[in-house]
Amino acid sequence: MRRHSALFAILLLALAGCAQYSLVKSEPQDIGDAYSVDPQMTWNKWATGNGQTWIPDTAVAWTADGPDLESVIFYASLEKDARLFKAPGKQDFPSFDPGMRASDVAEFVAASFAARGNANVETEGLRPAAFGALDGFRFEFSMATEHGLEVDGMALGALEDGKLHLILYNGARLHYFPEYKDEVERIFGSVDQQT
Amino acid sequence: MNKGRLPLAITLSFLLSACVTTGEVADLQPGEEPPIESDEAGIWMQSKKFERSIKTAGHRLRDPQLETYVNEVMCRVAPDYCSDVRVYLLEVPNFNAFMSPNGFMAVWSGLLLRAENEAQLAFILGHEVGHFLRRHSIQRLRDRRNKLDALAFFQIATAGVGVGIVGSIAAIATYGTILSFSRDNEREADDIGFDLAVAAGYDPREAAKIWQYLIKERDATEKKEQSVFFATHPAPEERVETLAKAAEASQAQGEVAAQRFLENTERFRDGWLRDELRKDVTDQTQVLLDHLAEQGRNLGQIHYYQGELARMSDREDGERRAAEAYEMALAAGDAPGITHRALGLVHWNLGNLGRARQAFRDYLAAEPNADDREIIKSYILELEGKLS
Repeated sequence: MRRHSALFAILLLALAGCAQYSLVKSEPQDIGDAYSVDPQMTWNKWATGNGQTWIPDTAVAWTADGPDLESVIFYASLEKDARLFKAPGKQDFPSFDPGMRASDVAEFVAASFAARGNANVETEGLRPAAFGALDGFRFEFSMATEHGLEVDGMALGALEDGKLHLILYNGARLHYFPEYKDEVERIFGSVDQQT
Repeated sequence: MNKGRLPLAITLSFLLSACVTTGEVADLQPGEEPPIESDEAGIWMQSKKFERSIKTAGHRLRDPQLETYVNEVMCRVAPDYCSDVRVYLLEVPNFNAFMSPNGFMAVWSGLLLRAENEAQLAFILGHEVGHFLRRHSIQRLRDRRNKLDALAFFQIATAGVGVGIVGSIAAIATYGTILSFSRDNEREADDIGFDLAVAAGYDPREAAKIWQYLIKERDATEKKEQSVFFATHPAPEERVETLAKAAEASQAQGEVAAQRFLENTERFRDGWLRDELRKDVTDQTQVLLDHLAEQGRNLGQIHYYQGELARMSDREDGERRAAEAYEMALAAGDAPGITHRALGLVHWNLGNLGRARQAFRDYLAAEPNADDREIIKSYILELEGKLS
């Protein structure tokens, strides 16, 4: 009996470890109440607030090979003072302001990555783009992590009644970012506002 | 010998050997490395691991020209130690520099942004070399551990920050804190740095100036913990007094080399100022921008960033003050093209739609190859729709 209890405890621990990720099927996925996207491959959704404390609880985060290698983060209806990343105890951290326009959002994203400790954060190619039925914008970005890993990224967003919808994709420049870039382009193109 | 006693004997012999190496240490001679059996050699090995992580850190400023320039200033200040000391530049928008026991020095871009000239940089580099040649790290570590186990303390402390594995700014800052020196060490390093830089032909009156400026910046905020530097160094007031007196006593007429310093650092200023603003520490940044404006160079760039800072502030009149600063930047004649875009955005928010549209048009004219021209065209179209 004692042996069974120990085995049960080990199994529970193992399951708790697995519980951090759940499978995202290649079918339409709701992002909050604001929009849905339609991935063409399976992804792994990681539970925000469960070890991955830097993603706000309200955001949805996916990865294929692991968040340190690449990730897609979905934000829906961000309001005043919302942050893109959790920064417990940090008073000075970039936050969203409803008065922002696309140019400001690009800098908001860059400043947020910089405040998380990334270096040489640059954005480029800000241009109009459809966010589903909304007139949105998109841009590319690049940076180096604190440990020197070079990262590329791309963003699609839209401002709606002073709220921000945003999708950020970033991955290691070597292999990971290009590996899933086309899939993320399809995700960008699949954004659909719910009725 | 009882086998069980062997580890104890070894431990005791290590402790005794540690005791033998404690006490006053002689200056490190050029080219000298500590004996391999000493605790100091162990600390050097640990430091070499950390140096490797600095070399690949994302924040390392890998610009051979600037790195060479700063190393050349260091070599001019301390020619005997030129081949012993290696300076690495880190792109971090805070005033900081530290010296590692094994001869690598880290200088943060926030320091280069705040120094006015080469002479000020030289006095700081001389100060850091002073810590190295007087072997303050090993003195300090031995003192801290009651002269028993400096190496063990250093290993545990640096392991705690992941030295050898990571190059994060938090780890680098913590490493600097572990190596923080006593007030006496700092005074001694100031004296050495002063003598070295004056002997190298730099104007002694520049030694105190950077500390005078830092006092202003420190006093501008109640958040003293923002500065890693002030957390690990004694109050600068005493330094100002001592260095100013030393300059007065010195009859030396030295070089300031402001132009050479600018020629080597100016092209990085825009990025460094952007990083400074991203810190979101408004009051300190205001002092810095005022300080740069007083120097009377690159006023267009400085007013542009003053505008950016005003826009970021929580003050109700932030946007109006930002518009004024952008106008001043454009009037200065050397403002970056993005000043027009920034002016357009604030005018739009202020409801000055016609002026916003004109500012965006000016931006496209000033920066015909801007990578965001498509979004700017969409802004103009939207404004035209509202204006018609």
